[in-house]
Amino acid sequence: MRTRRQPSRPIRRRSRTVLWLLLMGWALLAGGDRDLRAQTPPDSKAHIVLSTVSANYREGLLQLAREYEQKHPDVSVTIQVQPVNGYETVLRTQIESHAAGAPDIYNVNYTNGYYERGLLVNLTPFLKERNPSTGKPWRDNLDAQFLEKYKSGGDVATIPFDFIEVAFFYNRRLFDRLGLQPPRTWEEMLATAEKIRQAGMIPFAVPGDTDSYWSGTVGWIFRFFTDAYLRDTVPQVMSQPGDWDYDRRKNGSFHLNVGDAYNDATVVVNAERLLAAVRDHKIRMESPRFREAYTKIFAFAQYWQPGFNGTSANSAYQLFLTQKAAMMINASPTIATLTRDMDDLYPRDRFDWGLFPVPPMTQSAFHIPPFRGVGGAGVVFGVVKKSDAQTRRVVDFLMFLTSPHAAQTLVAEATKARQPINGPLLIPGAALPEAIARRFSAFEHRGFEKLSFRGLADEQESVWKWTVWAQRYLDGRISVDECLAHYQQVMDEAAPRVAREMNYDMDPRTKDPPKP
Amino acid sequence: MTTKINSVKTRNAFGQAALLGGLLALLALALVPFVMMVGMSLKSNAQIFAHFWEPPAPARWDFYGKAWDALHGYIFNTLVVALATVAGVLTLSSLAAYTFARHRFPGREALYYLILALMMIPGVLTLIPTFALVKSLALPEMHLGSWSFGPFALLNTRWALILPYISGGQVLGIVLCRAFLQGLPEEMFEAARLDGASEFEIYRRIALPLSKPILAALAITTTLSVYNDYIWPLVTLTDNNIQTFSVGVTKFAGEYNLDYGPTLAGYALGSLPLLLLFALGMRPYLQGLTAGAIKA
Amino acid sequence: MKWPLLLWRHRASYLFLLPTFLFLAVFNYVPALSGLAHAFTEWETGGTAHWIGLGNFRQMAGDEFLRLSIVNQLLLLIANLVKTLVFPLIAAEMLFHLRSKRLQYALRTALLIPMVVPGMVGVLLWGFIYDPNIGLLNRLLTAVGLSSLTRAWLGDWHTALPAVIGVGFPWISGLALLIYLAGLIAMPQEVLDSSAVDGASGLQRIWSVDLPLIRGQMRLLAALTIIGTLQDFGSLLVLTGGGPGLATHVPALHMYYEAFRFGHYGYASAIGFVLFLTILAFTVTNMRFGRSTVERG
Repeated sequence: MRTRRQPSRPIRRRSRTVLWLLLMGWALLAGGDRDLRAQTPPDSKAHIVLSTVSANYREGLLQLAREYEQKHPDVSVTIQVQPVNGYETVLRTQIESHAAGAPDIYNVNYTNGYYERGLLVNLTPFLKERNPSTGKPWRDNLDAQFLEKYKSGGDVATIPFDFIEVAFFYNRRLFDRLGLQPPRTWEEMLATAEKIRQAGMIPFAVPGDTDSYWSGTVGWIFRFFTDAYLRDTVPQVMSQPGDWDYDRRKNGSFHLNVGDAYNDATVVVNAERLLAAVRDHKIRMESPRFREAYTKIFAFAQYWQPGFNGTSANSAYQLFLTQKAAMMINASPTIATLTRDMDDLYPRDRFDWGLFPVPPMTQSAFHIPPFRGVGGAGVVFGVVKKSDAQTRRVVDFLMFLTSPHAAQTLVAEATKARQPINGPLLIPGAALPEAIARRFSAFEHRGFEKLSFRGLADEQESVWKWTVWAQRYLDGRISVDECLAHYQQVMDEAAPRVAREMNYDMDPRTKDPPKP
Repeated sequence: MTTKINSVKTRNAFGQAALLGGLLALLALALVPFVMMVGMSLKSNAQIFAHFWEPPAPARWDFYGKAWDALHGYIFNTLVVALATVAGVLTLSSLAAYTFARHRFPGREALYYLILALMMIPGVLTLIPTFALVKSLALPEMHLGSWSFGPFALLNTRWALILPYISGGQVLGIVLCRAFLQGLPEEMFEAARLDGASEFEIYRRIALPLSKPILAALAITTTLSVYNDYIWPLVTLTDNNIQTFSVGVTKFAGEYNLDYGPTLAGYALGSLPLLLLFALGMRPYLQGLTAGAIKA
Repeated sequence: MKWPLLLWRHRASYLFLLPTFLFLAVFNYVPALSGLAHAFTEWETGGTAHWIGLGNFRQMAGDEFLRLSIVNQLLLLIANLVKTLVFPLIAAEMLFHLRSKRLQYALRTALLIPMVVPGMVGVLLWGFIYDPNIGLLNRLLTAVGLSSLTRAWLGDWHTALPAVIGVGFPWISGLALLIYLAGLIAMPQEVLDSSAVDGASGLQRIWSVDLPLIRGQMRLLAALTIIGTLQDFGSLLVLTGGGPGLATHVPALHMYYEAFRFGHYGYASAIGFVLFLTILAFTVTNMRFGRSTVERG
């Protein structure tokens, strides 16, 4: 059999080998010619790379980049819009290996502790400088309160762009049908939830998968609860006279007033004092305050949809959109998404909806202030440390991006592309579309929390370990005391680790430089 | 005697029907996600929510147009990378596998285990070192007399994918091909050796044609793994013009985009080249199996 | 004196292996050794690595979450072995015994269709199937009147790991099917004929004739499954993130978190090192086990 086929073989073989070589050659060439294009940026031009996950601002950023290039012919700007999935991996590999194409500007909230580890530029000295795009000092058109909130070790390393806040969304059509009003207190809200449940509906759609505890909805809930329950510790952990970051105007006149939700908004907390309070059990998880907060959250969770621990953010959102759940907790970008998705539904499936802020708790064994929700900047940009010359160029571009004109462009382009806007921009001069601005006014715009604990602040390892225990607790598998005991242990392990990684000497009088 | 044969026949006919039924049931189950993907890709969100079980009416073929506009470049890029990778993997692994399977030489076992050991290194462990390496593989502009060369850097070029893929892909390739070639009777190779064929000729004229079925399978597997890889192209390619499909499709899906239809249409589109590959690759693969070269 | 001669005599073999090893040296051995070496260092985000000897391994011994993840890993490993060794074999046997070659061809091709769905897409689709509120599985159960069985499959402590295992049902992996079929088709005709003459029944024949003959293929698939399972974390990251609690947590996911979420590369490398040794041990055992029983020439 084989001998019969033998004669024809050499010819076929040869032609096939030729084909093979051709294919390889084509593939290599196809790879090659692109290489040339990618690899030959004109040497005279300086390069700025902005990498972001904020796809909603893609069009605006692209347009601003072109504008900037026209004004500065010696600079070329690349906007990389990256998928969220894997963004942290991309950043860590590229920035830490100091790759040539590594981003100059990126969403720095995806890499905790990078400033302390010496990888980001300290922007404080630039704040006083004149912003060529506005003619005024740079800090004049940045939001002072947010700059303060996002300081790292007392320095400004991140520039917040826009604001995200969390509120309750409710189905107005359903509330009307059941004769319900948006609740004014936490207790009223639970009573409303009970009525909704008796009417056969899910009161709250809440995602409870690992992501939700780690960085989403359930995390927010624990954050605004602990923020309120820990308000009494603010005087202990704020900067004292003699501390390197003591500011008499901010802390000198502070008196704790739990009647006012925003009483401590401008107070500067000293990071080492806070860490020491955790280390020395001045802030204790196994305490009556935490016990009450956690018990109340557990009671709240009884009104979430069954199986919330297996529900993704998308899935919970759809429970609300399809009117299976009457309320949901969500962040301000959802306003735009919900508006758009509602328009896409069949007319008979659409419904009117409203927003209410997190209502205050009135029955507690402790004096706790009203909840102030959770919030913070959505897009926060920082600058990667490269050469001094590059830093200058990149800061100039960032100044351009924070001009009123740029802010207006971002909003206008996002609106044109039917992309959601995260929330009010933190740069003055950007007017939001009327319909959206009206919705945003339901938020109080001041609601970010100060001392909030899921894990130790935002340290990722402790957040993850907290996630594991909190998920078990809300599922009813461990008691509140077991949960808090485990949490205490997580914090005891995290405190020294954080001090080491952040390079703290635990002396609040000295400012600790970022690692060299 | 005749009755016995008859009963065997009817039992066989019944058995064949049962086999067919069983296979069809398995097939139906296996296709559930696939059918779900195609079905949902033709529906808007409103249709999915209101009419989950009904067939799409009207079918939103425009989603496919939308997805094609956004994704065809990424699909092309992936195909270029996949083709180059498959060419490299098949060449290198068939040659090495032939050597391991049919040659006896000092250090054969040791070298083979050295290759096998690579399969056991977890990918996460090597991600950062490999990235650092690929980043460092760069040449400055050089001048040799009037002839200038470079600058050349691996990062952010297709080579950053192709070269590590070839290198990593041949490991499984060698293991599969070697197992296959070891199963062949020695006489074929012996006969050729007696005829005075050179080692390379034996490889090219005997080992390579006989390996066709396993090479076809390897080509398919390699293409699949190139297609499915996400983290590596995400990390090494920043130029959107050369980015691959798996990354491109997540960009298409977007951060707040909950539109299932267009997203799934994108996924389905991305599957088309693979479907084509299977349709084309299955025939030579089957021929290779049924031509009886192995049994001969 | 003798060695150079020996090497020279086999120069063709070494020459054939040269391209392979050139590639491997640059793109695989250097990074792998670098990764393994970092297991003995303290190496954190942005910093330089310091040699700390066995420090990371001591830390692993006290890592409670890592210890808990090992149980899940073993269960997943066993399940995945059954998934790849048994189910594709059943399908392959059924296909092989189909008389009509045309049907055989058509069904084989059709069974491979799910392979064209990109891997991550497949995982996302299964996530959608399991979704407690809008997922296919719960909708199906409700539609047939079994709504009491609906649950949050991936969020329920009792069903999370089984649900992860259920991904890909009915588990007819294309590669395994192809490998088995190739093995069955390559089976010498005499063996088939003699077993037919002996009057062996279907199952008997599979057990006593087919299985021993495709042991090589099974060994290979087992090795690939062990390696794939112990290294894989991507699908878990997408489906559950290791939760609820630690119900689906595995060491490879732990390693990913340590490296890319916590920035502890040294410690992550140490976990990788142990994973490497574990996979090595499993694979060697698998080969030994296979060989001692296959020693039949």
